[in-house]
Amino acid sequence: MVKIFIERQNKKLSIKAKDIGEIIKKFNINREEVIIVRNNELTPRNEKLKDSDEIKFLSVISGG
Amino acid sequence: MQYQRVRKIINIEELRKKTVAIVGLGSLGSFPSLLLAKNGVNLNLIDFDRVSIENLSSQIYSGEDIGKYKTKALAGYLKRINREIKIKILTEKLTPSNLKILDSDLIIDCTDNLEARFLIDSYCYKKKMWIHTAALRATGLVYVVNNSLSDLYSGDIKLDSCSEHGILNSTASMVASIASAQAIKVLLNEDYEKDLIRFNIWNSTFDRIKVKSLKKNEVKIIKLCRNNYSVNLSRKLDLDAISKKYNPILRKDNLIIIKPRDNIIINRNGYIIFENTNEGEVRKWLKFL
Repeated sequence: MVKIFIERQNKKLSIKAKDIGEIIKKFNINREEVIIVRNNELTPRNEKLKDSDEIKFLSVISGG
Repeated sequence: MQYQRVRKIINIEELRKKTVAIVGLGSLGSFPSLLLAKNGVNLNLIDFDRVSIENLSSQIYSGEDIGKYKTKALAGYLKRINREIKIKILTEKLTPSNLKILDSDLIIDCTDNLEARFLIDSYCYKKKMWIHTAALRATGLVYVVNNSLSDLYSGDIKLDSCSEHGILNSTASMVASIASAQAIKVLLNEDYEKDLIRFNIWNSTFDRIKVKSLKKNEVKIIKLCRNNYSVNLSRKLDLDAISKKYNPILRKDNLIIIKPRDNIIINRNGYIIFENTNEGEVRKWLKFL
């Protein structure tokens, strides 16, 4: 199981997923709108996942 | 006496010799200017916009400032806060042809658009550190860029703006506090925060996120807004050879700008900004560089 947090959808849950792409597809996440953080490190978008990974999909912010 | 309390923590004498360029004087830029001015830092204030009524809730300006250039309004305010500091006003929009206005000991990006941010990045890449800030609604971000802003993103980027989605003044002032503290650390050669700091002031969440740099020869192409592209080739480029072939419209130590049709800004260390083009054209150009 991996823990995921999707900021824009305010979703926090544990799911089974083999890679980041699978989560993106399942939750209909727009890749252009997020940065992806795996275990507190920015990550390329299609890494394979390990059990107990924590993945955050955080909104890109650019206002000022 | 003015700095008596802060002197116990930081080297004020050294800090007073420094100049920081604040790019963008809106929600993000006005507050760090105040904090740095109070610590005796000289400022170059860069913005082309005027104060409007909707700025008053999240920016430092008052009703009397409406209609004035933000540079002038802020400079007037800061002079009242600390008469000792030097303030340079640059009422200009940052473009490829006026990048020299960034010259300073440290740049703090307080802009609201990726074009300006990636211009700063192309100017500073492998030459000097700068501080990237951003905010939206209750979320803020501060990152001391030691390598490149392109390390944060991959592929296309879609952005929301504060004018559309709003910003809390507490978000802006928190960004300013973090950015100012990091700026002082960088200016005084102290150990600064290497991670990206991202918080939500409404939910009281705070993340420190590690950022990996590209490997040598790794290529990253990012589509910015308005058909601009940022490309990081992670390898050195021969600017003399490129200059001979394409006759630059501007040359400045670590970068050149050529204009075959629209601007192409080329940093010696393999960092390129293409303006107003498409990915096919970008890839074609990369074969020649």
